[in-house]
Amino acid sequence: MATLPPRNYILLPRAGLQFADATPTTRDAIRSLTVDTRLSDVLAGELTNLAVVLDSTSGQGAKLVQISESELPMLRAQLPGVLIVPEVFYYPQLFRESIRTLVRPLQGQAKVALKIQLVEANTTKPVVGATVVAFTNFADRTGEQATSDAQGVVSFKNISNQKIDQLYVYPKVGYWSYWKQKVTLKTGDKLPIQPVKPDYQDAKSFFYPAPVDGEPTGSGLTVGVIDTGAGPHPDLNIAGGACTVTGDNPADFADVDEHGSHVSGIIAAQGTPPTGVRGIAPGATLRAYRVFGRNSDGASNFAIIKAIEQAVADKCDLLNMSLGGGPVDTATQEAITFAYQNGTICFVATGNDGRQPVSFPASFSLSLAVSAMGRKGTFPANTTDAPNVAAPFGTDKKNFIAAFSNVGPAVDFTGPGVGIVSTVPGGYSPLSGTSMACPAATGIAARLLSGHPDLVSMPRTAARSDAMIQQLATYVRPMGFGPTFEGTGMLLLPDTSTPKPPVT
Amino acid sequence: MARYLLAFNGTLPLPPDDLRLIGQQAQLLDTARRTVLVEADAEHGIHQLARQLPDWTVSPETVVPIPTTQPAVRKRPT
Repeated sequence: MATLPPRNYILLPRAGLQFADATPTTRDAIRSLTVDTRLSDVLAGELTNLAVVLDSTSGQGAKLVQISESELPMLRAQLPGVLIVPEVFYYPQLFRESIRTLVRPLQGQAKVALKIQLVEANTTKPVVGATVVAFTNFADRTGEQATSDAQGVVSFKNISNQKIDQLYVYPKVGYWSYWKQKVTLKTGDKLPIQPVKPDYQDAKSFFYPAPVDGEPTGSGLTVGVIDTGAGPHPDLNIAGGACTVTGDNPADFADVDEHGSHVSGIIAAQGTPPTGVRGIAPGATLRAYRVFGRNSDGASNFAIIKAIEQAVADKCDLLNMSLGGGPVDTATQEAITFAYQNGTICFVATGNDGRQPVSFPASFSLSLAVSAMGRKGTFPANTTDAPNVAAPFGTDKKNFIAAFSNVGPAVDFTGPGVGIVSTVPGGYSPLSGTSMACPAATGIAARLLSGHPDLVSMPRTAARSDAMIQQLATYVRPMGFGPTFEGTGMLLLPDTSTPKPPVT
Repeated sequence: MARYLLAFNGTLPLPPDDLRLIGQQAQLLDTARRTVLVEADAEHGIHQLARQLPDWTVSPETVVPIPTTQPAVRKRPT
């Protein structure tokens, strides 16, 4: 993997401008970073000779360093808790008009022209409430969307006699998605939809098999899920939580969607296969913080800030934030910093914009940003995950970085996030996204850290956060995707029975 | 009217005088440890309030949707 050209970055303490309050290990490292020092002479890890200190405000002050973007994940791993921000330059502000709203064409008169039916494969039972998206031109997203009715019938108004470029079917609960390209549909066609089994070997269970007797399970760790709420679901044991949406009932943290339940199940579902789903850290204590309102457009940054603060007050050890996008905001950065300083570390999804830069708040230096990878053979061939298989492929050629995943130098880890079967209200569903990769990383982190009670029992300070990240770094293995796509790599179980790819 | 976050950059606790001023010039909707959510006049009110609060930073409330990888239709076929 080629090393990207170096850029200038500033190393800053979490608060203020002096590293006086940093942990002794960090203080010693910072003191040694004098002007012209090569970072590789001071820090462990494989840093190139291009990584050097350019300037410094004082011995324990901010450092200006030159380093390749591709080496940032390694630098963050070596200096946990240190803010690493790009050096920026300001220019006079110029005003230019820009397009804000595209003109939309008027819609034609509604007329049902095509009816197809979704049926369960083998039984021909109708599949109700599925979202069907038929693109006549996928490149410019021209197409039509409809929902299956009580008979499983999907009615389209505008796409008769047209070849479907790509067809996506997203059932609600209990089925795999369906995908087909270059298809001509005619009224009366039946599409077979495969039911999903909770014990299907997906990428999560491939890389993180359920713990066997005597292995750490995540017990002693409390994981907060900041999301759409969680449960109720028979496999989810939610110890408590809150709703921080302004104006909503603060005690109502039940799921208003399916996203938060799915995320929670990946971390710590307690079901028993073959009838239930088991999370990666079934012994961990789950707490749910709902930041999405009922029927709302989305989650407010204020609700997210309140949720982080409440989770810290509730003594969560790890926070999972499978959300993001929008502008950088200092208030959210401050909340994540507050969590870090109180011994709570935040795992954040990088976003699903397809190889775009890591979205905020995953891009914040104190977040642990998780990209999504997948593995061929861990989801059926004709699902909507088929188009998510894309380069780069790993050292094990079955592994790939999902096409939807955002990537870049802010990535810290990658995790399995393609075709992941987990809990949703009313049953089980496979979902894909960095939203699924993030809880996979959070879950395995809880499981690994529960084997280190000495760390978990540390006082809730920044030193505890530093120590947890340093411990997790010992379990990371590069998967062969390169740091832009996987950061330092993937958190893996030390158990030799785990399918571990060769170290590059 | 629009919603804004006012984030306090000074030493906690939040100054009562500042909170009183905020309450007088905007509708205080919610409070967190270091941040308050207000509703105020987008054109003048919030900027006028910000000028009187040097230890606070003002930013619009942002909203993020539930993440998905599901592709969406952007336009109908002609």
